[in-house]
Amino acid sequence: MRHARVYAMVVAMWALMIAGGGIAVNVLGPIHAQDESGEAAVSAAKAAAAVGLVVAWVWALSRIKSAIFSPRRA
Amino acid sequence: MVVPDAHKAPGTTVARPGGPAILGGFAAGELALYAMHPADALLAAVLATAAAFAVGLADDLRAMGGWFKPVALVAAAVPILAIGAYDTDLAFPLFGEVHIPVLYVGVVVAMMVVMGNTVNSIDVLNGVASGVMAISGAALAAALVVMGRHDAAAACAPIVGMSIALWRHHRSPSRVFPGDSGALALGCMYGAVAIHGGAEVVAAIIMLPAITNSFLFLSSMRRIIEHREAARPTRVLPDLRLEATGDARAPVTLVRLLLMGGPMTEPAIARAILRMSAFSACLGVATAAASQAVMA
Repeated sequence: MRHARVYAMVVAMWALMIAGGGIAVNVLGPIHAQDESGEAAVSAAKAAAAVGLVVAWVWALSRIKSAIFSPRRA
Repeated sequence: MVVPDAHKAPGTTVARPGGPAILGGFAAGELALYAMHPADALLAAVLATAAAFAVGLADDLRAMGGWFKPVALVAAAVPILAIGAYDTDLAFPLFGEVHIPVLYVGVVVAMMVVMGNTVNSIDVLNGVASGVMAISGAALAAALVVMGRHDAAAACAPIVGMSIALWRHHRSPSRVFPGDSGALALGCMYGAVAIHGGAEVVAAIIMLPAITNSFLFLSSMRRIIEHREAARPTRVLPDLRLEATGDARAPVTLVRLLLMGGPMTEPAIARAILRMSAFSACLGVATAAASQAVMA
């Protein structure tokens, strides 16, 4: 297919979104504080982890983009 | 107002903006639904779209800097947050939901800013933004039906109907351009309905070609700038086909990647993007269906 590499990029983004969801639900979701006062700290930690996930997602996507569209493969 | 069509013969002009008609068509459809089945989310979607339209109209009338639209589009999230037309559970396909009462405010803001700007960024060729929105709106409706959210699926109908009507005038050769007011309104109405249906991630999957375009642009430019401020990634050949430039300063875009194989006509590139949009639409609906099967 003429534009297979662009489709590969779309599929890579889809896979990263699904995987990120899995981490959010299975790793971050179950974390809870022992008492109500600690809930704010846990929420802040979850928010920081979510931002970290997004940063990692963008980094991984940049690497995938470089791999898919590198001149050697063109 | 008319503007030149950069990919046509010199002197070709097109009416712009189509934003007022886009907002009017969407609002008429949603308010008709509201008359039959009053739901605050429908009003929130109309108000959010109107806010995005106002932001885009300001840019249509007076060219603003690159940061204006991403920042000003936060206003489109305000009606949804003020009316409370959202659920605080964020659904991740195949895995379940996370309850994020505070963080969900950020999700609403991100959804409106990202969707508005991605649709705006892909509005570069005749018939693309309108065609992508018609396909994406229909796919979101199908996904919401699969998820059992028939009320939100119905709210997609005005997006699809209005986008098809727009596409008839926007396809090559265009007789009207949506303009920033139209493109931002299109993206934000889609985002608002996705929030109403609790299908934020599925909606993003459906819109992946446009999101890919934005990602490629930002990752290559490494800063937020207007398209008109960047070097042109394509040039028009004498036979009116488009060719990718070798300019290293120009952003990487979806159109530029599609032209890696050689020059193409504008309608051929538009068809390639719409085929990609149909592919991601199928991916989104299949993801929603698989998720329902796993969760059942």
